Amino acid sequence: MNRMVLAVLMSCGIATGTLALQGQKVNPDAQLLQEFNKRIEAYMDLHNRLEKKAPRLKTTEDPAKIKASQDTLAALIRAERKGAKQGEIFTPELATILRRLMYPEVKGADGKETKEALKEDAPKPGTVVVKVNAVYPEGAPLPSVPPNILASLPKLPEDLEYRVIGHSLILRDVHANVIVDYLPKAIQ
Amino acid sequence: MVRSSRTLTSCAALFVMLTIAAAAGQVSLPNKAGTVKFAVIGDSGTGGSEQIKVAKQLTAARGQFPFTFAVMLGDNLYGSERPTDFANKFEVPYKALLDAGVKFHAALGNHDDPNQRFYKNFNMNGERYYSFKPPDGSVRFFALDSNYMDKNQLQWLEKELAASDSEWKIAFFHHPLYSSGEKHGSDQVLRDQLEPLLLKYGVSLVLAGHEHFYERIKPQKGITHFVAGSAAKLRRGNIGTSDITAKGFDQGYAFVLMEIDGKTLHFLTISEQGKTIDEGTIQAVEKKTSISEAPRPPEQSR
Repeated sequence: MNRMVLAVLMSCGIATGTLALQGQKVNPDAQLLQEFNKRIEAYMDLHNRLEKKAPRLKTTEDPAKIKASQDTLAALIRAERKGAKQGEIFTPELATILRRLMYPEVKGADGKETKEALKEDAPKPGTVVVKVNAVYPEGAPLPSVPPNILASLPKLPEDLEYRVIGHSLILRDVHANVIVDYLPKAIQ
Repeated sequence: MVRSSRTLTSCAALFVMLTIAAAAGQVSLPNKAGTVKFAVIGDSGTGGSEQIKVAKQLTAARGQFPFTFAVMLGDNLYGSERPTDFANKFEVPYKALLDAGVKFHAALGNHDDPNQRFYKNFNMNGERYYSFKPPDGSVRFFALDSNYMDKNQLQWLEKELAASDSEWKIAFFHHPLYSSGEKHGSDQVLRDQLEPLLLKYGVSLVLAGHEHFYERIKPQKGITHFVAGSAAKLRRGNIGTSDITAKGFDQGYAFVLMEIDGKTLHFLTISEQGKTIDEGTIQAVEKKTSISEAPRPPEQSR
């Protein structure tokens, strides 16, 4: 599918159900992206529910309060998602689409700059253990995500972000500093 | 006899005056009343002796040049970010400035946890990207999160730039769009996204860090870019040969003082030894597409 069309579907949130109701063929990519959004929403429901139990994160002169809020939320999320596994959000079917969406940005001569940008701020190999529910290590640099890669991926709520570690795309909870899920071999 | 005594006295007075001027870091600029005065530091948060040296020079410079705020170009805290780190890598080095009421406005670097935005002394109001307008002067600053330039941020930036009718629009963020650094160099991908907006809405000045040296770039499509990421870290000898460099300094640490007086911005770059590295003026670019400034909180918006 044309990436532009897919982007329009992603941003407009066209429900596949609507298309089905009209008796038209359901686009499988759009259906999977809708499924992805549902999983993200479910995660955010959990995040928002647990966030209420953590000290409120607000502007403060005391960094200890920021740390306490972050640590408390991380502990709550990790406890609640104790059995969470890789692929619960980045399902195998969605993984194929995401890899396909990112591929044009990193392939060939045109993608060289993007690949270099991805390596630019990368933490040293082995610094970050890419694992669901792992806390992103304190002090490890957070590698920048090139804008063209971000533009190719589905939009996320503010409390979640994508990062690329090695070849993996990780989904990170910003407030809790926890790896929610990851997609191996995302960058080929 | 009397005449030679007077000559000696005059010489001594001149010597004392010159000594004081040298010890105070030779600050000059126009240093006029009623102008917007600020400082620029980048990649500052090590807590090491070099950060302290630069901070001392910055404090000394303020004795003569009373800047009211400073912008931080990211990597505000290297390594761990425990409460003691906020103290050792920020509050202690800049204590004299904080006590004097200098406001620090931070942008996020690749070594910064985005939760720094909740730290009050960084004046980010809980936002990864934001804009602010100092009380005096026609200038608006746009602090961006160059680590994560997503669609939301680009849309926000366009809206903010379009809504500002300030004479000066200054963007600051961590990754330089132009740099002659051999380690990092220009961030071409980021430039492709940001530069069209900066040009469209008449941004005059871009401040970035990331590279651990000082470089003033020749105006690129009319915009002047500064790289100032050596307020605590230094990559000695890292400025490569390039025709975009107007002035480079990679043999010591540095910070920049700036003063906006109408359409003219004066800058002065000072090393950790108090020596002048670079100085000059920039003119504001002609105002482009702008709507009259939309109602917003007086100080900060997002």
